Parts: sequence; structure tokens; C-alpha cells
Amino acid sequence: MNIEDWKSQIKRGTLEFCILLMINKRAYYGYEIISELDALPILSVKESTIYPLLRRLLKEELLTSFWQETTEGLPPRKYYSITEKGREYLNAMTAEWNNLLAAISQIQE
Amino acid sequence: MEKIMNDYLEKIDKYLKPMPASDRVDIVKEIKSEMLELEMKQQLSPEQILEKLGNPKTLATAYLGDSISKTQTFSLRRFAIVTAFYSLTGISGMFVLPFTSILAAALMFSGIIAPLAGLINLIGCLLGFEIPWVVFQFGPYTPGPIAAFPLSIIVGILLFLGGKGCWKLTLKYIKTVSTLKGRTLHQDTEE
Repeated sequence: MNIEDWKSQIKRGTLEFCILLMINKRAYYGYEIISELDALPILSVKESTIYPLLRRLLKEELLTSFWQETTEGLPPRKYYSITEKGREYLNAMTAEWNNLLAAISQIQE
Repeated sequence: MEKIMNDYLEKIDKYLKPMPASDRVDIVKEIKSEMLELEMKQQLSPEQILEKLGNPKTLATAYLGDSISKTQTFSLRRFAIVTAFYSLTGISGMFVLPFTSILAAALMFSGIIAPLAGLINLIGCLLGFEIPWVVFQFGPYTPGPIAAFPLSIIVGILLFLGGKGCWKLTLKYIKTVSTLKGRTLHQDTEE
């Protein structure tokens, strides 16, 4: 029995949801997502997890991307924003997430 | 940019070889963008940056994971389609094509030879020769040279028509196979 295994399973199962929730608010670039999730230890992820996941979400047309120049003399960044399809998917996910929370708290009572 | 960071990106590009060039360029550009951000904004050393990004092979393989499983099912499917197609036409072609084409040639050749032989036999008979190497035999019935000539013409025509039929069958077979092939290949490139 290893609590770390269970934590990584939770993370794997919810990462897509978390990313869509973030990008739903505004356009994010990859490293920005990584550093924001890093501040929340249970959700901290590596580049090798986040970039391929973003790529898959692009392929599934839940996200779109665009390159944008920076004003701080940094190289251009690849920003991700949510699509209409992504928003619909996120709504469905949110409903299921609330279902899960309600079910768990019912069991806990 | 430091050489070790460039080397890292080159390795990523190398490991991503199975992907289309445009995807590779985009991926490397994105990683490079993060590297420079870490270097300039977070003031990390190149070593710290590489440590954060991890083994280039692991990172590249993570990208490939998704696309390979997708392209593999695709190419396996394609492989199955192509194999099914070639084994089908290949095996039938192996029997059908030689059989019909050789039969066509042989029948048409015989169709021309038979009346010629009949003619030679007739001329020989009229001139009083006995030509021993031209013999007509229809089962148990052996007609004389004069009766044999019209019979040889009829047989010749029948043989020739049979040969022509076989030839048409051959052409039809080739045509069917090539349209089938065209369709399979078309379907193949469409996906």
C-alpha cells in the first residue's frame, strides 16, 4: 500500500480537468501551467507530462494554440486557449466531478 | 544559448524523428522557449534547466507515446489492408492470369492452325498426295480429307472464339484487379 501511488493516480485522472479549468479562464503558455501547478504540490507535473497532454488536447480540438511575441525580450511563447468543444467538454467534466464529490461525501456520512 | 542546451534540443529532435518535421519544429521551439524563460527570468543555470527538463529521451518518448500508438493502429490497419489486397490478387493472379492468358494464346493459335491443316490436307488429297502428318480425328470418328476441311474450319473458328473469350477474360481480370488496387490505394491515402 503506497499513498504516493494513489496520489499519482488521482493526479493522472484529474490533470486534464485542471488544465482545462485553468485555460478556460484565460490563455496560458506551457511553462506558466507548469509553474502554477508546481505551487500546488499534489498537482505538480513535469514537462514530459504536461507538453504531450497539451498536444493531445490540441489534437482533440479541445484547445487551440498560437505563438505570441513577448515584450520582455524573451522568445515567443506558445499560448493555449480553450475552444467551444473544450468548453462543452469541461462543462460535462465539471458535472461529473460534482457527482463524484457528492457521492464521496454521501459515503463518508 | 549554451551549447549543452542546444545539444539537448538536438537530441529531442533526433528522438522525435518518427514525427512529421513540422511537429518536431514546433515541439523543439516550445521547449527552447521554456529553456530561455528559465534562463532569463528564473536565472537558472543551464545545468539546472536540463535537470528540470529531465532526460531528453524520456521527454521525447512522452511526446511519441500518444502519436505512436495512434499511427501504429493506423499503419497496422493500412498494413492489413495492403496485405489483404495483395495476397488476394496475388494468389488469384498466380492461377488465373497464366491460365487464362496461356489458354487464350493456345486456343487462338490452334484456331488458326486447324483450318490451315485442313486446307493442306485437302490440297494434298486433291493433288493425290497422302500427307501422313496431318490427321483429323474427332473422338472415334476420322473423316476423310475432303470432309475434314469444312470440319477443320468450324473447329478452327470455335477454338479461335474460345481463345478470344479467354483473352477477354484476362483483360477483364486485369482491369478488375487494377480498379480494386486503385480503390484500395485511394482509400489508403485518404485516411
